[in-house]
Amino acid sequence: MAKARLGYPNLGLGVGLRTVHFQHILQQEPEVDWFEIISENFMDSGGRPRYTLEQIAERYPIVMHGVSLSIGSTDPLDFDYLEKLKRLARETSAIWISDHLCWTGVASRNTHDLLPVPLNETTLAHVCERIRIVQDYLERPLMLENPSSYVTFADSTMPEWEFLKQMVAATDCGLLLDVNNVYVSSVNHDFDPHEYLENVPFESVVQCHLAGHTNCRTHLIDTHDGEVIDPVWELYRKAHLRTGGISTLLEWDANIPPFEKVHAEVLKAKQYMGDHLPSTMSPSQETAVERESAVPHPLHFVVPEVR
Amino acid sequence: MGKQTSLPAQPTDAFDLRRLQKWMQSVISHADGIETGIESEQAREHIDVSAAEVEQVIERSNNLTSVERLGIYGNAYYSRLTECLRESFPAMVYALGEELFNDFSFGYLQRYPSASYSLCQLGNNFSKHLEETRPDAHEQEEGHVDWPDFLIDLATLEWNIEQVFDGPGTEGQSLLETEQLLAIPVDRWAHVVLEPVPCLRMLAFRFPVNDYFTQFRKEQKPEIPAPGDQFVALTRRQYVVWRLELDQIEYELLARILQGETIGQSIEAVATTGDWDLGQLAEKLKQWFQKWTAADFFQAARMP
Repeated sequence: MAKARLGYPNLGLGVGLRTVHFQHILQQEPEVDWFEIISENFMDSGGRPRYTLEQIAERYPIVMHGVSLSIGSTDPLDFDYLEKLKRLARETSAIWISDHLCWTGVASRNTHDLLPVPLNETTLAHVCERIRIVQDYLERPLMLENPSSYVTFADSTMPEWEFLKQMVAATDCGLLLDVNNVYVSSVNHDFDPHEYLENVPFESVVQCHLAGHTNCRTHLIDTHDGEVIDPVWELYRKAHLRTGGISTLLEWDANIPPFEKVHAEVLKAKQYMGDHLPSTMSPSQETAVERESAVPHPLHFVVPEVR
Repeated sequence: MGKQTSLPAQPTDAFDLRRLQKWMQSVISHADGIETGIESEQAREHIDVSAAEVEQVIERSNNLTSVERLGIYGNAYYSRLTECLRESFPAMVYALGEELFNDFSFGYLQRYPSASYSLCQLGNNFSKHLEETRPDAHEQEEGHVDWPDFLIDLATLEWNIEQVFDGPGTEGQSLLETEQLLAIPVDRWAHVVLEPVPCLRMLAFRFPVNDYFTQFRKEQKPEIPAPGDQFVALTRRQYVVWRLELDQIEYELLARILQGETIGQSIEAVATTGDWDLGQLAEKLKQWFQKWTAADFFQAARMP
């Protein structure tokens, strides 16, 4: 029988490490279970961001989350990138490495967006082959996250959960289940998020993501700029129940509030952990801020200190 | 790693994945929007559908058409990358105003789309782009300086500050002390080669953009200054970027040292180009070497 979470530990409740919180974390040493870093922000850093990360990594477990692996792209894999990824993981003692089921660019370009792939056998074979190569190179399993998406392809022949199920079966990779992304995509693509969750291969889920999004009335955008809404917590409650406990991380990337508020938001997850607890929220209680438009996945950017 | 599980046969009617990705990338990054992007030659080269036929590729949802759904990615593409450039060039944003800066960025991103896994490289060609697209490119006279030079200089300064901030440094390493330099026997001084720290960058400007940047940082609302040469060294100490203004002759001397010339070769070269009283120059040299070692410009002194 396969080990739960591929044998990886349940790290508890973590927070995405962002530069605006560096000073607070170093000075206050908050009681956070673990941090997730954006790999690309530190791979080439020789300055304060990397120095700060090294200090934080001495005190907290670190997990690496990337945005440029582009596992679904038809461009060749970038082995220079993979080498830097592997080195950073070694130097920070990262417990695992994740990225997204997506492509970010083609023909040597990078859109810096997480673009969806058509969900069919052609893509599945292509993605699985690349996952195997990456895992062989990194000498560890890769965790892939279900992205938020805004289009579906006429060429798709299976739902996303089926694609994920076949992908993990073929490659032994792990899953980073983002329940906010499930919700965002379900609204954008008119499917039932609970049906999605019922079909996730939970034995392969190593980590869970939580985040806020923006309601643009006709669609949702994954902006990571606010609190987690009740229907997403409800999905989290189910995911927690099905996994029996899972490393959980909150992403907050735009309009980032003080660290205490971000930390308090992920600690709300405790309310949804007991399997005896009834669902207290109705999925209809949408509370995300409404706006005409928004930009998905805000940037992670480091502002220089200069004199 | 990984089981070699056999996968189902590929569907015969599937669009080729590479063609689909090239098509989608050209559509969502088209400067004139999604519909024009779909109709463009570069998109139709990959998948030959019109905007009216695009549902053959991208499905509609209950609430949005296929074009509207692609528009979410199209809108995000320029917004996201322009936001990144605004973060890299804050003084440029102030100098131009956000709207005009965004227009410059829009042109830049079309000419130099990102080819790196890292957003940290996004502004790499920004000053080059400004140089290549300056409106007076065809009427430029030798030595003539105008406002495009101000923008190019300011972009160069801001980009170099960012690179020095997060590039390689010498924190935690021992560096060349003034006393070590003074301990070198006089008869060997001329043959010494100084090894600069990796974070040291030398910049020559046609406008005093270093002063402008300082005033911007102090929120003093600077006006675009009159032309005037300014020479600046950038370095990093304890993870903070330092800017040091240099005399022109000091800049030229230091530039030669950074190119690997011996101290003797460097001094001889600058002494012959300027109208220098040797006693005056000797006094200046002493001041400069003290200033440079105090600012941690060098890692070591090598002697033959």
